Amino acid sequence: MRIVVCVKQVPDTTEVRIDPVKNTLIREGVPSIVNPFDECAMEAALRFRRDYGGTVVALSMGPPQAEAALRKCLAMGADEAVLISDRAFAGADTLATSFALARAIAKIGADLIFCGKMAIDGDTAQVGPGIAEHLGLTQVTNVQKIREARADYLMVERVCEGGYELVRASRPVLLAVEKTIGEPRYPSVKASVRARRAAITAWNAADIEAPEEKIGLNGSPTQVTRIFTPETRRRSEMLEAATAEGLCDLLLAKLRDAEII
Amino acid sequence: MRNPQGIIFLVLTIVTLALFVSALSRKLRILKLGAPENRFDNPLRRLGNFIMLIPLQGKMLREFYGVIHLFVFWGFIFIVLGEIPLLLEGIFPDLVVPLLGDNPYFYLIKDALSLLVVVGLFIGLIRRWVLKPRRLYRTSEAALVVILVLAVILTDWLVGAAKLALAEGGAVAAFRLTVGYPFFASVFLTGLEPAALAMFRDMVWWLHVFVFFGFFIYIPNSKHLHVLAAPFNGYFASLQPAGAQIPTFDPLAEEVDEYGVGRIEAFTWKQLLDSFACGECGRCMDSCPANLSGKPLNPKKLICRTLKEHLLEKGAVLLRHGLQSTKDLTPERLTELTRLDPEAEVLGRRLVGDVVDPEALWACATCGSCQNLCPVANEHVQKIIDMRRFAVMNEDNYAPELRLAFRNVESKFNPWGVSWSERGAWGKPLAVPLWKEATEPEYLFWVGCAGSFDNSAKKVSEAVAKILETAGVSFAILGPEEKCCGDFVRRAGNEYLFRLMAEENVAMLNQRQARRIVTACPHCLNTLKNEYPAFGGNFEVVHHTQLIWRLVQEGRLQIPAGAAPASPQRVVVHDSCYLGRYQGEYEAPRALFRLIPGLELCEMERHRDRSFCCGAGGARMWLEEDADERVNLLRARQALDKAPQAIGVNCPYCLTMMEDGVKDLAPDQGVEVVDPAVLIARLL
Ligand code: SF4
Ligand code: SF4
Repeated sequence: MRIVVCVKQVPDTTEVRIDPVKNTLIREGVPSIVNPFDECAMEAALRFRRDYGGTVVALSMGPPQAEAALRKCLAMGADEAVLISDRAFAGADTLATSFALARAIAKIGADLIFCGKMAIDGDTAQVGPGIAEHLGLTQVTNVQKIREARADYLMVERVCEGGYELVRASRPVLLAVEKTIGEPRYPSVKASVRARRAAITAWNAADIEAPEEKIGLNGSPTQVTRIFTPETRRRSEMLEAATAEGLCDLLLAKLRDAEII
Repeated sequence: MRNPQGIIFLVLTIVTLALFVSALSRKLRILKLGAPENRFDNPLRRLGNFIMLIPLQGKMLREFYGVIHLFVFWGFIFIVLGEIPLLLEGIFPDLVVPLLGDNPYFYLIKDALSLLVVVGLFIGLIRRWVLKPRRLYRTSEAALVVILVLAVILTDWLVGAAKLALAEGGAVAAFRLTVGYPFFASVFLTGLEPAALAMFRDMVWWLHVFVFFGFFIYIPNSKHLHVLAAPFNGYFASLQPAGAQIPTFDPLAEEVDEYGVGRIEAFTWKQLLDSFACGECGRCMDSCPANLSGKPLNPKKLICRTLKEHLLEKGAVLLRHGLQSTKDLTPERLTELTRLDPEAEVLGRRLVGDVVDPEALWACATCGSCQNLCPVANEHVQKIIDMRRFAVMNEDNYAPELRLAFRNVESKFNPWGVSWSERGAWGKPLAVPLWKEATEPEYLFWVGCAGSFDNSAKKVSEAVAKILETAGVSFAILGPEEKCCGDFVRRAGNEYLFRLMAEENVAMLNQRQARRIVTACPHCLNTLKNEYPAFGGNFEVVHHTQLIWRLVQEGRLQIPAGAAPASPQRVVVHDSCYLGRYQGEYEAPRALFRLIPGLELCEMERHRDRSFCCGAGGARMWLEEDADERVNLLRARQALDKAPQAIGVNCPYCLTMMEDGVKDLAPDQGVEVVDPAVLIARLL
């Protein structure tokens, strides 16, 4: 059984900084990491392998530098890594991306696919479900736990408001996981060294038989026209006074001034 | 030749020499099981070290009992020289050995030293068996050697006395300045017939021969191998500065198939020689913060018991079976060997785990005190780091809290795991310029992780920034471009991660063309200054106290006249290990404190290079510590005993540890823990 984990290399940033002129994310000086949700997906796959066997293949689409993310997965314990990289993929939106990844997964031949529930740079949460749709697979999103695996189905917990649903999902299946599924392991030095030396399979668009009109800009019905940080209108002010009464008076005065009360 | 005894003596001599040489060559073959290491360079400097350590007993003499050792050392040399004419008599009764046998001054010195040795040995006996300091072990070996040496000296005195009493010409001339021989002659041998005297002389001579030969054979077979190994250890002592003694290796290199030291023969021959050279003086354990706080680490025992005994045991089995190492020994082969030779069981023992207690390894703060004091220049710290490397890199077996710290360093570039992008945040309110935006500043201020993220240490960073600005020194920080220097990572045995950090930092510093660096963290200081050169980073690095003191001396920084006296008036100074022992800088922090009007400095008993560690170095900062045996409490108590208003520190680790200690021990006394820069900044 082959398990594929889809990972994305993202800039490690909590605050997205945008170049006001070029309208693009500022990546200079920002280290690249494996999307934290994908790291958890990787962890989930490794635990699944420990419990039920199989081989784990880490898959990523991106520029050649994205190899670093795959090496991280190899260090964590992935058996193989595949990078799909081609100039033709540039400008892909979530549809084109999920299509390309689905082609690669079809070529790898997997019956269980793990994705993070979303990437921290795009926040769309669309690629995982997109892959499942392209491949015509069952999908469960927001998975927090795999209860058990049977030959033809999985029992998983899916987070929903105020609790979780217990879902029985027939295999093959794609799971988009929450961070709570498991703290990603810190690889041993030996594994890191092995990963640094390991060969990574590289496929281009032709290798995965992806027609030109379905990938990259051509295959993307949506385009990002502008990214910006919304202006925050909220302002805060700290009130200070020696006594509680004084503080109340101050607050009341402020509220009256603002004609709130 | 005193026939037929001459023949017997000759045979005895040959047998003795043979036994001595074979014992010695056995030890040499065991040493050769160790890994190679080049300690043959720079013979002149090595000779200098040798002379300082061995003939001059430079380190020994740093305490009173060292004087006794000096006497014993030189006494031993003269006694052995005296054996040359005495023993040659056994074959050539009438031979006079030039310079020795007929030299009254030689006998005078030998006689005086013999007396001092006797006195010294008695003081030693009283010390070891009556005063019983914990650092000395009361073993039968220690007792036996005293008896043997006393017997050698006494029988020599008696033989000489008999010669004098017989009025042998040579003896009368050569012994004329001595006291021992005439004393024994007059007390014991007056009125004896010449025949009786001659018989007495011959009998005691034989007795002397037996005792001396016994002693001679005993040395290479006992802990007293120390006397033969220590001189070599002095010669082969490390020539690197204290802070640059950790060798690197490339974990990615194909030929490295086992990381660190996980078997005794993976130590280098020099590291193994340390065990033979150890004189068991116990100075190292007596100053070891880990040991004194009750942890299972005892640097003395590690060297002269744990590692040495295992080396001798395993070495013997390896040699017996013609093996160089157990690295390629399969479990099947081991079982087979053990079936044939039960002692081969030792081959299966793991160095880290079965032989050395991992708890002991992780207790070391790499404070360097043991090495600094060791009279035979043993290198304890690297052995500990080597074994940690094995535990971390090879076995992936180490504390979870350390794993977290590694992970944080790898992903966030600081052990706390705060976002890397926040690194320069402390400087924003002060408008501290970023290097990439500044134009050729004079200094790069390397802030370090603590200085960037720890609340107390941030105050020091702010103070340094304020002082530099006041003094008109242009400087800038790297901000988010700076990463953990890797000091603790390396000392925790993770050379892989250390190299990553070192390479990235060096690349950044070189790209930004930083040449002169100031830092408030002695650990960063040591790593940047002593360890980065191996990675192509050659910078002039100074500690902030050094730079500030220089600015004061150059008149660039003036403490305003009439400045208000600082609040703490009585400050007790604590020397950090990494500015002190590792850099040899003790004056700069003190000089800065003295600039504060009205401030009175006081010292603890353990200060300067004898300073006692705060307990945070060597990755201890990131490891759990048992609450009732914390090193920082020991040190804080030593400081508080001086009734200070503040404890003066110069390292962010010390700052944290002393603050915690004060909080625990004297929460209401209002004792501050301060860096001198903070006090100076208050005056500006
Ligand atoms: S370096 Fe310090 S803590 Fe480590 S063994 Fe030596 S004295 Fe003890
Ligand atoms: S290692 Fe050095 S300091 Fe420690 S007991 Fe041996 S000789 Fe003394």
